Amino acid sequence: MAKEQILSKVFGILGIEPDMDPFENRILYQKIVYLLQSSLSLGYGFTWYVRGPYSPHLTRVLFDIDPDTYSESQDLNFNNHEKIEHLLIEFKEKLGDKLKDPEYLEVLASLHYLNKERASELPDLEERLLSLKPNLSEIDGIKGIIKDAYEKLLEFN
Amino acid sequence: MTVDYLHPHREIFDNVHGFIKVTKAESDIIDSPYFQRLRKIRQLGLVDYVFPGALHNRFNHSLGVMHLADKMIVVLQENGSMEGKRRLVRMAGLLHDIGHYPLSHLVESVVKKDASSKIRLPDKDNVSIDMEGDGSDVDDDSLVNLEKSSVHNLNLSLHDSRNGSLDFAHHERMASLVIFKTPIYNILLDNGFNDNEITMIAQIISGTHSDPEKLLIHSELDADRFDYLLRDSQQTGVIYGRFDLDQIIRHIEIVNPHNTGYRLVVNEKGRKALEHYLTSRYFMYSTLIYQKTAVSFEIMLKLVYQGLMERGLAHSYFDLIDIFDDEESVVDFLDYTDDSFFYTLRNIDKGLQALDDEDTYMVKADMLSQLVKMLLNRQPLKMCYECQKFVPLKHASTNSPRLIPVVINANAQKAGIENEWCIPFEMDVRISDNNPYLSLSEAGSFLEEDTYQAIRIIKEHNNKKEIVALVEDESSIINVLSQHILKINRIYTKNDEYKQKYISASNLS
Repeated sequence: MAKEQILSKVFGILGIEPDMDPFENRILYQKIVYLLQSSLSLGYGFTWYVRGPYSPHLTRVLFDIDPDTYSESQDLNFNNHEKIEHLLIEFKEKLGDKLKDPEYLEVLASLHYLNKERASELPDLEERLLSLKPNLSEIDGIKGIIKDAYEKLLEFN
Repeated sequence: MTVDYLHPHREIFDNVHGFIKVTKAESDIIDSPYFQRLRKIRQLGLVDYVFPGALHNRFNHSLGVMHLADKMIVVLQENGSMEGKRRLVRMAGLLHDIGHYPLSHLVESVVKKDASSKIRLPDKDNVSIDMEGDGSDVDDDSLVNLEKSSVHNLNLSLHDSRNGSLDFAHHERMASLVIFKTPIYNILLDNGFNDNEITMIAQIISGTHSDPEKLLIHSELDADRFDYLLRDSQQTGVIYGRFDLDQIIRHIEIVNPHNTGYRLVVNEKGRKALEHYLTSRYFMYSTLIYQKTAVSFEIMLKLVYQGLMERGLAHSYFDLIDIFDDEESVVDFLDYTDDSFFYTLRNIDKGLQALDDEDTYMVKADMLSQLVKMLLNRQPLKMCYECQKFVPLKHASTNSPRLIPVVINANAQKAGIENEWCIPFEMDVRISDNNPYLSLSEAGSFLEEDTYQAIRIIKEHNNKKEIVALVEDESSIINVLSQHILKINRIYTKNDEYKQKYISASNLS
């Protein structure tokens, strides 16, 4: 099955129809799939780029999802459909409103990546994150966002 | 700004770069059997069957990468970047290929594919993301459970962000296993590298490290590509690969525009050298790597390795992690070389090694023994069809010439030759590795995050500095050339007799 169909179905269950025009959406989708892969492998490898974990392969597949592909894929089922659907709904509930907050997901995914690279406590992770992405310091309440995301990390493998 | 001082211990003469200075730590690594093993792994697989000079190996190349990574970091440190990272970057350059497979990427691709088809990530065994009824269901019987393998778990933990792609057997990941599971680790400890630094070296090599020094070893502008292009060119005599390395390195910079993150760029003065480098790389690939006979041997070797691996006569990823599992067996990795591969082939050819057959084998015994003989005697497959065409990237997915399996099989049947001896080969050759380019050009916009791998330059206009991707810069030849892609489609068959039969049957002559 084509990867764009699988991804369409995954996003469909999460309640998101991919629209790659706004830049913020591209960030959002990257971070969603990155975090999702902590419990479900979708076949993408990530490396670090300026906005945190990034997969060029994923970008290509996302661009290949057109409205027809998206809507036709919603009629398809996964093998182990119930299990995967449950996992996706659980993921969605875990993030709540933050599922559509690219700023928060960028911080959460970046902390997850840095913590996997070298497991650390909050102060060290925060320092590494802000040294790699000093522009985050300009966001109001960034320390609170980082603290909140750090606590959330425990819910992702 | 100051450059980290490193005490030179000895010098090694390299035919491409001249004298290369090495430190005591590097010297100890180079003298270890696990690094010396790289002498027995040819850089270009079987390309020497076509370009006889291509006998250089991963040992030469690794020294070259260390040397060039050093030249790059010295320039960057002189400009105030990457303080304290010189010895780490040099060591990552030296060790970047320490986990390479015999005959380099040819064997790697077979082992990698086999491993990714048989391994699921921990706790995800029962969660297959395939769609119902698409025929792609994974047969549970073929899955291998590695939950208890400490070596595989080490591989997973070191490169977590890559796990999703299932590329466990990638040579960059195998490098980590060699570093952590052989005496290389103690050599590094004895020479003052701590465990954190050793982990960083492994992650720089795999490209998963978050700090910018990884870009010197793992990007489109890295020491690895610089060295192999110059070295392959010099060894093979294919001069198209030469380019002005010093001019590029003199003008590299690490920038962090608006504090958004680090990028490795080249300033305006290095632009022409950079454009020439990219075109050189294109010409080298299209001339050397995709040369029709070189591709023929590549296809044969992959089939042979597959046939040997499924009969337990050549290592799979699963064999390799067993080898790394204890101190006694790890020495077996030293024998995992080009020589041992050819030794196995000779034993088969002499009848000293029987070949069994099972329904599940992808390469049947009869075909395997014929391919072995052909490889040993340098008898290439014959090309019975070829189409090379430049197509605009925008239309590459819809307007490209394609090989259609049904048509190939029908022609084979008409010609009276076995399907398995009609072997398709399809390749896209690009001027730049900036893969998302196609979709972006269709979308009509380029955004930084999506041009992940693009080489960037610093342009100055009205005293303002701007960082642009070369593929986007309308004054760059790369902008023009990257809008097209060379599609190479070929069909290979067993010998001249089969070739003539196929051509007649398909009315292509």
